[in-house]
Amino acid sequence: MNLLLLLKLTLKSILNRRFTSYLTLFSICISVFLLLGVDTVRKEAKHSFTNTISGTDLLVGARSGSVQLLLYSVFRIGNATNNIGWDSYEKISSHRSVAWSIPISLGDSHKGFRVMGTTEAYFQHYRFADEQALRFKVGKPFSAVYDTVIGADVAEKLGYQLGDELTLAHGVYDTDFARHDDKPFVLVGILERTGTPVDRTIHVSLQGIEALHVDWKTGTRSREAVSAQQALEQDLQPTQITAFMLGLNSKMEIFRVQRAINNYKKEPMLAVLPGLALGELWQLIGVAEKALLIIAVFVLLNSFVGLLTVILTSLNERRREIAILRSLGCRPNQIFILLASESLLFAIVGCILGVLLFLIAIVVSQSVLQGYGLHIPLSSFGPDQLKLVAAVIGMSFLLGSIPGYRAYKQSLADGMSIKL
Amino acid sequence: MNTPRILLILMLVISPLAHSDKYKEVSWDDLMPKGWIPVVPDEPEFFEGETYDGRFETLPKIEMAPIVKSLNKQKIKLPGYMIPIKFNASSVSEFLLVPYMGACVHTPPPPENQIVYVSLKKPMVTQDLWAPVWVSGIMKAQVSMTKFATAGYHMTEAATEIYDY
Repeated sequence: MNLLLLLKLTLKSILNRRFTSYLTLFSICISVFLLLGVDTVRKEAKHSFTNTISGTDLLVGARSGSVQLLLYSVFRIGNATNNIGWDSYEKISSHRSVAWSIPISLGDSHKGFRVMGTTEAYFQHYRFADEQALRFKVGKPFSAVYDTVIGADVAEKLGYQLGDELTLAHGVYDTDFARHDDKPFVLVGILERTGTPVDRTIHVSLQGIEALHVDWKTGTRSREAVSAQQALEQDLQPTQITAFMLGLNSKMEIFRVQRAINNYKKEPMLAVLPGLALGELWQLIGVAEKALLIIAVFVLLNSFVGLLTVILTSLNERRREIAILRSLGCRPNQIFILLASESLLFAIVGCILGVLLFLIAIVVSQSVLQGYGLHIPLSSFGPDQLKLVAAVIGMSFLLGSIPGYRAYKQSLADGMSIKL
Repeated sequence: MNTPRILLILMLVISPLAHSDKYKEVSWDDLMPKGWIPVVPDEPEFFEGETYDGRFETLPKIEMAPIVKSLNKQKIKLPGYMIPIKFNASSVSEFLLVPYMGACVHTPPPPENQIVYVSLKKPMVTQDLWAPVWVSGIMKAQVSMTKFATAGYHMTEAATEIYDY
């Protein structure tokens, strides 16, 4: 009885019990998919989040909480509690300890993408991943009041070209009863893909934000509409911004400047170190992600228990089958291999299906994931994931030795005749 | 006793002394010059009284806390907490080392001679940010700001170990 013949027998035996085999396969496939999914999402989430900001010494906003400030100012998740005054920003950003500063203003959106008002300093000083700067795929930064620059995802999803007009909406959700229709913006630049929330952002100048809201000072559209042209003639000096980023001349001064901003008597502000705030965010999420991983592992164990149950219960019915094999010259240790390879076969096929399902799911859910700031490319299935799959297959072989051993012992005890 | 034997004994005796690759363990107190009394910083003055007219040059210089020059170019080992400055998704390559973490706001932040800017030889995979570490490296005590470096304590070629306590 050579190995190939044994394997063919295993296969035929499985196919004989087709329905239960499919169910077991399905359960393994789903649990492998779940395990891969949870592991990849948590790795990529951490990766995406940490890569979003680099080289910024302090993030400053209205007084709220450090994680909240990080989330709304850098990741565009959640909302600011309050704005901060322009004079506070000027006083702080002009201090001798400050090398550069980027003011930002949030609160508008366009077709589900957030609008951010800022200055040219953003394109000059903002860094992400390993100190990478923003690059333009096409076009240039804004210069006129109604110019806009969009990120790679916005351009891809909405298919905009240079020169196209965009109508922005007031608030985070874009519906046609709250749009600034009278003041369309012109696309002058598209940024290269960064893998960060920058891709999902529409950038305009601070003056552009002021112009948009010239007739919204009451909180709703004013009776006397101010046209786009008329707005240009008004004073568009911003009076407030939502947050700003600071780069200091000396890293040693970070704590001193941070403390001074937090204690600033004229306005309640919060200054955070992005590295620490990210660490805090991960502490919060860390518990949840570990729990998810443990659950995924338990789901996998559960499927294996199911698989073993199926094989072990079938063992009783197959005693005659095994006795026949013995009579044909099959040795007891070959019976062991027969049974052990069954669970291995299930595991291999289940893993392959699980991986396929996982890859399909990545492709299908790209846009949903990006809405959460997650950038999961197909390449995220790499050597680490393969190690997981290998571990699953290895475990199945170990567990498969249980029915294998039982069959081995039974075949020894039974001999050629079965005592049922 | 013949000459080779004497030489061998001499070598055996001298070799442990020649092994001077040890890092000297220092404490945070050693980073402050003896006799220097830390000053309660006057924080409200940091931004008050300044008006916006470009880069501000005439504000009286805030005295930076003095450093111990004899620590320059020394191989030292110091425990502390990391505040990541240069990091990416998997590792930290540069951080500020401070004596305590998450302190209450009753006290001001540590003075400049109680902060060390550490540059790791090999980026460290971030595990627990809040775990204290031993940092060993070559200390640079820079008295004043040059074109290439800011003043204060810098540690280069550093490596970290978990601090057991």
